[in-house]
Amino acid sequence: MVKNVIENFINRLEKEYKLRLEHQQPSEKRIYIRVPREYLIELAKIIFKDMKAKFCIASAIDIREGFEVLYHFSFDKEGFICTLRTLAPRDDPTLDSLVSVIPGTTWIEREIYDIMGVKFKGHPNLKRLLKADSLDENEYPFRKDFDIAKYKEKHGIAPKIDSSSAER
Amino acid sequence: MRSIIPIGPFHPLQDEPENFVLTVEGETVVDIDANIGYIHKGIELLAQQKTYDQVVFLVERICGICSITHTVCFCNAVEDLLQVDIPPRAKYIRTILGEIERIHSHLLWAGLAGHFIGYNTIFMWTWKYREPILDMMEYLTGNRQSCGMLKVGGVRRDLDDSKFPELLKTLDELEPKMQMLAEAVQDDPVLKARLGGVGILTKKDAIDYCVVGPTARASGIDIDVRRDESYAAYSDLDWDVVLLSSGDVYAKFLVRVLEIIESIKILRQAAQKIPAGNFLLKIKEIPPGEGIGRYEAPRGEDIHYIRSNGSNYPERVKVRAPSYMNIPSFYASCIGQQIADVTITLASVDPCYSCTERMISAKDLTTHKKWQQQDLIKLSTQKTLSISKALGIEHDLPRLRKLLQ
Repeated sequence: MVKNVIENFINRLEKEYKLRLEHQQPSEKRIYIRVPREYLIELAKIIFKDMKAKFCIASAIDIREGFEVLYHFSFDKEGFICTLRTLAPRDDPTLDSLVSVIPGTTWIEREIYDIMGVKFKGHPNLKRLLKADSLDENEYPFRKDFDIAKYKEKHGIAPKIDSSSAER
Repeated sequence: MRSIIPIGPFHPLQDEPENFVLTVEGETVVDIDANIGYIHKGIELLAQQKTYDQVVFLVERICGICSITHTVCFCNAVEDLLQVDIPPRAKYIRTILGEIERIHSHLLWAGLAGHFIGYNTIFMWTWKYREPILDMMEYLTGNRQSCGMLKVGGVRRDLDDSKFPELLKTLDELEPKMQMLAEAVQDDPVLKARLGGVGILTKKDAIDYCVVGPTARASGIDIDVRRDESYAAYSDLDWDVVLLSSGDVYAKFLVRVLEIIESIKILRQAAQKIPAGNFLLKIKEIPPGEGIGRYEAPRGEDIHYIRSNGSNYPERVKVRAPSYMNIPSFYASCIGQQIADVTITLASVDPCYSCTERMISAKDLTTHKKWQQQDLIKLSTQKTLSISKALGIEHDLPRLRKLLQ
């Protein structure tokens, strides 16, 4: 039954919105759609506003071609998860921010910017969220080329606490 | 007069040390900003350096209260990648452990919420009821928290069938007390006046901020992963999703109390229906691919994303705990509130309490007066007292106290 729901969803995207997208369906309850970054905001708008899906989370992964960002949307009534797969190339790691469509993406976009260095165009408040202060703005620990040995050499195993800031 | 009140980073209301900066005008909050990252443990990065078997123990330590939550969620994600169906006995064991966890987590929250508004009877009694539940967890698994029971493909150890009558007995003792608590909460006019209309999260804001769990269900959004995804044994059992529509702190309180009663119902059926047989599936290797696991934690939907490259170590583990989506909803629910209500509004989404450090300080920029946590709780308690005086009713649930004696 769920399988039909996913087929309906793909058919609706193709017929109603004239979108022909590369997709794969590993199981009955999961579907992954590859979307070029130019169309990301448009497709997110369709899924979130028109189809009433709930935004779960975004995950960022460092792969050979660049930084892959996956947006997971759950269709709670139908019972499946649709994942949008986008790529931010290594030489230009920027994506359109979804905050204007989905306010709930505010924190996760800041987090991805912080740990992976993907910049989100149009984010109202793109600043660091999680990373320790001992890491520089352009040191991204989730990138494959992040050198932990170099970091330890620079800062020691535990970051030094600045006594003047601790007193404050 | 505009002043800035920082709450935290160490504060008993937050699961992690978090820093809230409230901008207030007189008594009214006009702006709120949140800073997190003080306790970032790097678990996602660490998980990439451990084998799948070790990651189960690692994710168990994300949170003290949700130790079952994250382990089951991780196992669900790997099982989604593998496309396997775990044995029915393992499904029932996961259900039983998860519901015990939900009961003690909700009781913990109800107690603290009572304390913040000056209802210390609720605090004392709910924490007293919580003890037998934690003892039951120890009796069944060997530990009150972080019991190390989960494994990809099922559960690591079996539960002893001869121990279920004791579980049913504990539930029989707990249920009338929970019915009474639910009645007392619904009948008490002071509680209704104190919490009703406070910190309202409208349905539109709840959808926009993508909140989950009891926070969403109190705002009228009909979601529950236990029903929608039907992992574990929930589809075999008869239970209801608790749904309220007003979105204020009172609704969030009531949703949790009613959910405890539903959990007791689930536990009782699961303990009677649990089938005999194998409880662990042998997993030989993990192929390349990706999987998403979902779980209804006491605080809402938990989600793990896993990518495997075919080796023994995961390529990426993404963990999203429910509070991550619920906390930003303060941007919508806190603005326009009184300072006396902020304590309970911040607490109302139940950010979990794994941190033991307790400190809160607020600084008035004009007079340089420092407010401690006690001062903020005192403000909150005073408001409850003034409401009860205005209504001419003794505060602190007189009816509950009478019933309990």
